[in-house]
Amino acid sequence: MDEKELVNKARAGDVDAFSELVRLHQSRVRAFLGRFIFSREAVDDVAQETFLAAFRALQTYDERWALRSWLFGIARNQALIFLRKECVRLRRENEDLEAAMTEWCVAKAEDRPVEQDAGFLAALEQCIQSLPEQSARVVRSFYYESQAAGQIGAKLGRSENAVRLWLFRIRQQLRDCVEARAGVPEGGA
Amino acid sequence: MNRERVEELWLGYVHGTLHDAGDRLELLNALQSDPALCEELLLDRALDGILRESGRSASEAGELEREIAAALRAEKDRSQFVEHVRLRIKRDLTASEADLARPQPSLRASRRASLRARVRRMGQGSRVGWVLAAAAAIFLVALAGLYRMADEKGLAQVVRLDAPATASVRPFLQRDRVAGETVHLGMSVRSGDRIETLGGSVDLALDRGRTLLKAGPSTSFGILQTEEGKRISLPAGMLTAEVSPQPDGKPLVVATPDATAQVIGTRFTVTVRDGFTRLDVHEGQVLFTRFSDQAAIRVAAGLCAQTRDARLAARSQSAPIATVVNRIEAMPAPRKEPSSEVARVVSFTLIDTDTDLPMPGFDPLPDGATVKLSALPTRNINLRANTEPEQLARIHFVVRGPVDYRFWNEPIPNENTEAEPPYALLGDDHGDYAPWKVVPGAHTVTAVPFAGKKGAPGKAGQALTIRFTVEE
Repeated sequence: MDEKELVNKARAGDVDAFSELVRLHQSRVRAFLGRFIFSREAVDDVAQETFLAAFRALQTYDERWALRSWLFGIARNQALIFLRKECVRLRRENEDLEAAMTEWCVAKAEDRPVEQDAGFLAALEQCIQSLPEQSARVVRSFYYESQAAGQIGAKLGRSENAVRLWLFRIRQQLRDCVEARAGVPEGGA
Repeated sequence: MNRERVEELWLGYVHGTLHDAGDRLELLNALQSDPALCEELLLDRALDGILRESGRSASEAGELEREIAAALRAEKDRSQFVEHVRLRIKRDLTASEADLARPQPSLRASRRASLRARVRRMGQGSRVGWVLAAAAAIFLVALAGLYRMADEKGLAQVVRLDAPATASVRPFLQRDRVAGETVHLGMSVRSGDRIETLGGSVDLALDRGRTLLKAGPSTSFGILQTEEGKRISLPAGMLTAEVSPQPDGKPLVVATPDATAQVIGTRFTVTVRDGFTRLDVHEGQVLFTRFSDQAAIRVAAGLCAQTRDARLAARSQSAPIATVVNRIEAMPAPRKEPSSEVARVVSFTLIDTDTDLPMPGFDPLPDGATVKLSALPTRNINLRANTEPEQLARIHFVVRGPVDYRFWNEPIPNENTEAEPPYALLGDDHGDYAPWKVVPGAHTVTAVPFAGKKGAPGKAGQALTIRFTVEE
């Protein structure tokens, strides 16, 4: 069944069809949210809210646009709602560093069109493919296989801090690559 | 601070091991003092987040899908339940209308017939049946007693009455209310009651006297207490309310045929006349929403708003407001569908953010104008771009000049994108403009419109640039 059929069925109230759409899009929606939200649990919560909001608003979805872009738009709004509340909570609890990071993130996100975020994600997917083999292996181990920096370091004969720094350098490489591909302006976090 | 130290602190932060308060403060200071570094590290944080979420295992993803499916099923069940109740109510209403239309047998005859039928049925049952029936009867009597006790207390009380008025029967529960029953002083008004005034007016006290509703002559209004708060329906007439602070998440809402006024605690008047609604706010602030286009605006004390205006906006209460003869003419033009036409910014208007109204003399703001802050009623201003068409996909502002404006107390770049009208340089919350703490000097603002449906990327249209000077 193609996406259009699933959308039509979901519009008629078919939860299974919508679950299939969730299965198709959840990983990208979560990755999209990862740009805004620092906590894994919060990403899950906001992803859930995003899909629930999408289900409720499915009648308003215009099929001329890609479903993914529409979901990104909802995800961005949900993320901003969550982050604004977080700013208040973090300030109240005197978590100054986290609060400042969150506020900067909100200010940046509000100022950036959603298509730029989508373009950033697409460019990143391409840039990851072009990483040198050794860097790709470290990224895979750390992010995809959930190995700790210390574990990776032990295998490669490096310290935990060295692996962290290595990951930081890889992200710098990726950032340069994404900026070159997507034309992301400086500091577009 | 040198770069190595910042990286060390940053890596600790990203990997969740930066616990020392001194280190955290050191990192915060470094980020605050170097915007370029801050932006670089924010982007690093974003990349880390995306990679982390991309790498979530399949089992975790499955869990999310299951949770969403379960939540959706629960929601669907709830919707079905609500639909079921709605149908039941509809059916009951139809049945009661049919009952009223049918010639009624005398009550005594009907009771006798009912008793005879019941005895016949009971006679066919067992002793257990008698016991169960008795228990059910006791339960129902007790329930009815409790309901009556709770109901007698009422939601409101009539505290002033200067002419005859009538109270209608409850819409669904035809109990001891009689249609057309005369309202009297001290009368208890219950959730579901509708009051209709004739030549005079009626005052009702709610919330133990802390909230007052004043219905003017020729007014019809209903009052309902729901889980979401108090809802007053006002199909016609005038209602003035002094509302005490309402419980969190349970605002008092006055609903007219074409708008709602939602209030947490304030004093205001809602008038429905000639098919449109006017809201006058005397104290506090009211969220006013027009149904036709879902335009919403916060109306502050001393201001009014009305649904007949093409652009829903707060205005001075003393401003003359014409009486509308034809409702169709009074309704705002429907929101234009996105089209392929070229969008353009026509002009800019300086907004007084204390009143959310155009600043006299600066609507529009001419190119090359000088704005003297000391001559303005307030220093809290914003700049609105006036566009054609009114609804765009978005608009992008770029501002140049001695800018030190702050947005949520944090500096932002000299650009801003707005997705909904009114398109304000510093943004707005449903017409409640954010103030721009403008710095004296020469300013240049460019607004680029993007035509298309809201949320879509849109097609860039005809931009407008304005230069103006701000003086103390």
